[in-house]
Amino acid sequence: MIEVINLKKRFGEKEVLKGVNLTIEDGEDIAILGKSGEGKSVFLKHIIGLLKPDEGSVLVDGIDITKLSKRELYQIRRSFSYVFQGAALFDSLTVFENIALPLRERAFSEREIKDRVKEALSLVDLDGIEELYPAALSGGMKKRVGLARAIVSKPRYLLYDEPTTGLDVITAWRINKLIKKINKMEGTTGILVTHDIRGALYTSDKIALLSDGVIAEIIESSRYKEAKTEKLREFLEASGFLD
Amino acid sequence: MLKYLYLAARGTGQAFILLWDSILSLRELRKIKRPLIEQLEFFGTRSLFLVALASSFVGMVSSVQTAYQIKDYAPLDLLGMGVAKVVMMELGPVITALIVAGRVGAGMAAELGTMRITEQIDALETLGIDSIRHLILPRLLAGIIMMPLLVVLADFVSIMSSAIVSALYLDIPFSTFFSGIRMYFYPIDLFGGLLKSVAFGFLIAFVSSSFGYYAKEGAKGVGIATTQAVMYSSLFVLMADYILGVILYG
Repeated sequence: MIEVINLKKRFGEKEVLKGVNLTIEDGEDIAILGKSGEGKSVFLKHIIGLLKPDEGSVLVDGIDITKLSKRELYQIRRSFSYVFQGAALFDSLTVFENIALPLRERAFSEREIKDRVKEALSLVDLDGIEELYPAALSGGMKKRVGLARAIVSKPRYLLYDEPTTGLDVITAWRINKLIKKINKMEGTTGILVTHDIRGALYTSDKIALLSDGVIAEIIESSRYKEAKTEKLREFLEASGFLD
Repeated sequence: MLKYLYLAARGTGQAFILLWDSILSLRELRKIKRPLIEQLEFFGTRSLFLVALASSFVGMVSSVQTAYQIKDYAPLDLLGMGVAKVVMMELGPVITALIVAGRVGAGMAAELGTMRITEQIDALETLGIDSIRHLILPRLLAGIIMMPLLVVLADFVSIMSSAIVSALYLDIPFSTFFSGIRMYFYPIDLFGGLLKSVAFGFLIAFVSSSFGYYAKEGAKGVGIATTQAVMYSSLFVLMADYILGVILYG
């Protein structure tokens, strides 16, 4: 379980997070919606300890990760995977090496690495591209390789940072279908940050709106029409989901 | 003014944190075999030609200028000795370091800076991989290991090219040139230069990695980091050269 308690973060004069509170149960899939610049990615980076908050806590299975040493944080991160907006593949490594990297770090045998990479690539429908370098891949393929790298270590928590941004409608939808497939894998908790409301409603059990530095509303995806706050209703209307 | 002082203090602090974390990550040395081999190749093997070429000219010009300066006061038989000493103690390590600072330092800063702005460094961290151990430590070790080897090459090429120019244009036979070197050779001349090269290799890798690792603000930031890496690496090499020169030969 992940609990975010009164999370605050400021960059210079701008206070991006003004006291975010959110609880994500094990096995739950939640999408964090919000306009560009609202601090969605900043929030996600706090959950995995890439950023330290000015105030507040992030509890992962009861452990406050904001107070951990670097080494302890690396241990906690083994339960996580993070899918970056731009895929963040390592240019100097082949697709195989990119996906194998977290497994090598954990001293898996070469046999097992090979099997797991093949399995992950198959799951994202990219069989046979192991020897290509990221420069030879399209934007959509890079995102799928990023997904494969995220799932290869079979993490408990999967964090997605705008995974469909910059993609055409068809490719974005394929990525959403993959995310849904991955989220349904046993024991996986997914946190999706996006402004693609269609993808959020399709992939996640719940949607939460981050607005003005706080979580303005959380609602089950299937009951989005019952959104109470003006801000979430406006967001849904703008995307054509409410009249 | 205060802003620049603040930025300088922050940069220095960040660099020392990077160094401290690199030292701590020495505990996991066995995990960096692959990146270390890559960096050894990048730092050393790919610098061989440039260092050899530059060193040959250093040797040639050293012959001509030393001959010009000593011809009225000392026999030219001492030319080999003079060139060898200046090459081993000073020119070999310093010229090699400045060439490497330009080639390798710029490359390191640009690569790490690009990795920073494209979130590849964050990606390593999210995978539970210590980015400093994976990216910085191999570079520091490669600098420390490869620089003395490059300086040995530079010394050899410089002295040989100097001997050839001396034979062809100054009528100093090889035997005279090399007997001059042997007669006045002190091990400290060579080993002092090699010791300097270890320090230079470390400084270039450390300064360049630091600028690249903390690069920000997109492509412009990478450009700034690369320029600063070369500029400060070269500056620190010259400062260290003076300090070590005083300690070793002062």
